[in-house]
Amino acid sequence: MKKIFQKLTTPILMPYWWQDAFLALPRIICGFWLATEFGAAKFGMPWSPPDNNLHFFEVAFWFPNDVAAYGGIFKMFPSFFAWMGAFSEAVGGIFLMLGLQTRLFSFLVICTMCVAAFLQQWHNGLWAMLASLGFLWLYMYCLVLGSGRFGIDYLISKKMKNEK
Amino acid sequence: MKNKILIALLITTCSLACVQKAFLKTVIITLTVHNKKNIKTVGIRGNGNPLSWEKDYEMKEVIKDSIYSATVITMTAYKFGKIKFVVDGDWELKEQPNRKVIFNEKADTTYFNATFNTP
Repeated sequence: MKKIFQKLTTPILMPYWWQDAFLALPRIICGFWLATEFGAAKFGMPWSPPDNNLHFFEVAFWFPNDVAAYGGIFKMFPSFFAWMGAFSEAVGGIFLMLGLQTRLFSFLVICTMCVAAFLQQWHNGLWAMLASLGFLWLYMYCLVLGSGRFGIDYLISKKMKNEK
Repeated sequence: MKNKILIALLITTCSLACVQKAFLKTVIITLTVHNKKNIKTVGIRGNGNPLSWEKDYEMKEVIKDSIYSATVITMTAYKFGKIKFVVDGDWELKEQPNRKVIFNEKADTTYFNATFNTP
């Protein structure tokens, strides 16, 4: 279990620190947008718009209906997928900003963005898919590379290495 | 194995329990129109099903060129909805904020009276 955790946490480092900084920038900015804009509108966070009347960790009432419309397994468990999708954006955004469990939350965001791009926005054309595809490409890289030097994962992995 | 079952149960319970509660609200909207003649269509635009910002939700004539009414039944968890009125394709309150229809928390039915183009 510890080995899996270590593998999941340890980032791949670039040869120079500035390359890690360069790659961390979009991860942090997009994490911020996910947490404060996209996620907070449909998932209850302390900074969710008061007009939306969302309680803490609550998914917006309309979102499971949207999810159910995708059919198949989404129709069978709409609340679960809606909650997971909204959670991955609102909470995952914070973790991705901090570079904490970057690979795990990148995976969750990738799943959410695949659904958003290919099931929700597909018939609205490429322009409509662009936002979700942007997040999808970015976090595919983060899934492979992890947090780099500029994330909590790096500090945790360093500590784990020292403990050995 | 036990841990996995517990985690799966936790996630399922959480996701089922944590959907915002929505209620069926009925809003009876009455609009008074002044200084317009031979009105053909009066509609409401707004957020939340069945309203939309793109299409009129038709209001019925009570007194020609004067009073119009509509009943909107919506499933919502919000405390209020936002609307504007459109008479013969002409929007009211241009460049001004939308009207707020605050849902009655104690009852299912809310009554909303307004005068066209008067905030």
